[in-house]
Amino acid sequence: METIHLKTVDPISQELLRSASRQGLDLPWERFEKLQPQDGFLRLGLSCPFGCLQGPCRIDPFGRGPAKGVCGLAREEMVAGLLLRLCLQGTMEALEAVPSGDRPRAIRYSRALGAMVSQALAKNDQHDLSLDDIFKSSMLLSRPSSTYWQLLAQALRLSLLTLGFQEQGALATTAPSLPCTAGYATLAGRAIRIGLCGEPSTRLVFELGKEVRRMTTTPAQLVALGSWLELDGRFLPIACTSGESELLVSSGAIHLLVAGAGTDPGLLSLCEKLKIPVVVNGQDGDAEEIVGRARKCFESRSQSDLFGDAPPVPECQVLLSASTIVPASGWDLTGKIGLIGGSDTPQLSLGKLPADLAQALSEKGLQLAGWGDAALWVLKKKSASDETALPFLALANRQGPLAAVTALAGVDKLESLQGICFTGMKSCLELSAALGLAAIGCRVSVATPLPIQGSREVLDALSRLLQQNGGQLRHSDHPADARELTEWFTNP
Amino acid sequence: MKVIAVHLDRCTGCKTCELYCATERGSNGKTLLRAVQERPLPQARVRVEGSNEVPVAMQCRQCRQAPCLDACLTGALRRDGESGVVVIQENNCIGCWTCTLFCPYGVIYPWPQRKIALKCDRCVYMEVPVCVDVCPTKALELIDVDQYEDLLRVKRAETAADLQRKNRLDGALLLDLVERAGS
Repeated sequence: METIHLKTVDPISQELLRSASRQGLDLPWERFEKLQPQDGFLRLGLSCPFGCLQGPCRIDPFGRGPAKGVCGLAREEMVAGLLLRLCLQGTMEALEAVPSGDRPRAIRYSRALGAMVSQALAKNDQHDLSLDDIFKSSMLLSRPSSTYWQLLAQALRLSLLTLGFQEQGALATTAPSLPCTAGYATLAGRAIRIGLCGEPSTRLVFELGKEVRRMTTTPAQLVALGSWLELDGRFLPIACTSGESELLVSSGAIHLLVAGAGTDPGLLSLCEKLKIPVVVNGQDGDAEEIVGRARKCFESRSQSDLFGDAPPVPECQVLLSASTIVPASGWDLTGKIGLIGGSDTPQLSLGKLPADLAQALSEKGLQLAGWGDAALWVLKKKSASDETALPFLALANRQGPLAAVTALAGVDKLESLQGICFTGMKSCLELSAALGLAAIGCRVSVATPLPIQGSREVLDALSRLLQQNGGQLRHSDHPADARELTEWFTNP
Repeated sequence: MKVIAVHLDRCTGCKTCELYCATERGSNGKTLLRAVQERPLPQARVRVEGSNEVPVAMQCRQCRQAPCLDACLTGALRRDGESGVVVIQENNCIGCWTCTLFCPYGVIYPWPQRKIALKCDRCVYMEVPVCVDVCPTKALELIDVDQYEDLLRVKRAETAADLQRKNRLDGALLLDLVERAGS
């Protein structure tokens, strides 16, 4: 427990951690500790990612063991193949978010993004993108028969495709922004609480919303656990970041969990252990029955107002579309802009990097916007301190920084953008998007190490490919801190 | 004296011990992702040998009568008085590698790039050897040689219980062999 500050900076989360420890509950931090050190070959990208059953093969990074796989695959192709595999996964995730009726054979970009993508393709002497690129990438990964240059080039194509899908998968709303509240203060008071995690079906969220509004005797509430879910012209209150979801559930404040696509298995196990009912994605059932199960759980437990003293977070407006970001943001486009966002990661104390980095960049005069867990942490910090003047805009999580980039490109002010920092990554979608942004010429930094350090040649080749269009993907061999990232932002 | 013991039934051959030994003991960066970028490449003092069926992490056994000590011409190898571990003083090593040939286990390695020999010193200046610390299945364990008798006692008891459980069939066979040998 003396290392509790290394797990999260939020004092309420720290208290919940102590409580969970007393209950003997296994949370992500404990699991992460037990996994140390994580598989070194995988961390370096030296475990073969190709779809082959001759292996598993891996290459000794220190040169005394195997230098090639059974098929003769060398380390460069192994590392580049892993990057392609991760990008392929990310592209598929982005495609999944595009409404199924809206999936064309050729990708439709907005004018601004389309121009940037075309330029990136032209610089690397590449032809137009299509859904066939997904198929081609899968085939490239079936057996190793390409050079690492070809694998890297294909990974870049997929990353550009990811951006297109992200743009097409943006929230279908005409509103320039939606209001959102966040933090543990959203849980103050007694109420039946249904937690929504991952990406539950919009129909279920809508039905539950209707049912919850009908509850009069005991108030009921839908809260999102790290997810950004829209209902009735606003985002559901986001009680915690994605990294804190299990912590919140361990507190007993949630009486039923709706586990949408992408919910961690650890969360489901925890609910089972604590006897919290779960509605799994695809087995939605009737909203009235679901709320009834939540009520039953609520009534069977002693209720205490755990979050009555939680500092309230001011409601913020989440900017949704590229066309409205510039007018709604109030940015001075002659000044400097920085984007920070991304998911929580157990490699860094939750909240520390986003909050510290936002503060440091703000002091350096950068205008800031962010997305995802990082944005929630900055908003939480705004409430917890008196520094309410910290100007920070929240961007819709689904598009991440892309909407801001295309907005700036649309008014020909992309040069104002000093950099984009992913303070943590959880999904391949984030990696693929980061690579795509670097491919269209942005300066992108990832604060946590990427699993491609096993080959210096591949790292150099990737840098060269990105530099052809003026882009950069900075990442390093250690989790970065706010000081070095501030340095990176302010010294292009 | 403490030595690193290997539980053969737990070793999966994952080579985590190799990676982190090279990183902690052979690199300047002290992290895996930094170590792989260094030149000359860091080298591990433990090697996983064997097959998929029986992988085994091998490192210096810190022999009580260590042939490498007698073989070393420059006195680079010496036994640490306090821990009893055989350590190599790299400054005195001339890279003749006589010790590598005398080692009965083959666990002293030539390091041509640095012109020295390389051997496990059980991370004697650390609380726990890094390979023991990182082993995901706890196949490596730091034990005191004085514990050998305890371990052997446990093993004998387990064997006796096993024989009993099998209705002494193995034991009968043994007796039969003894009788045959006697006749």
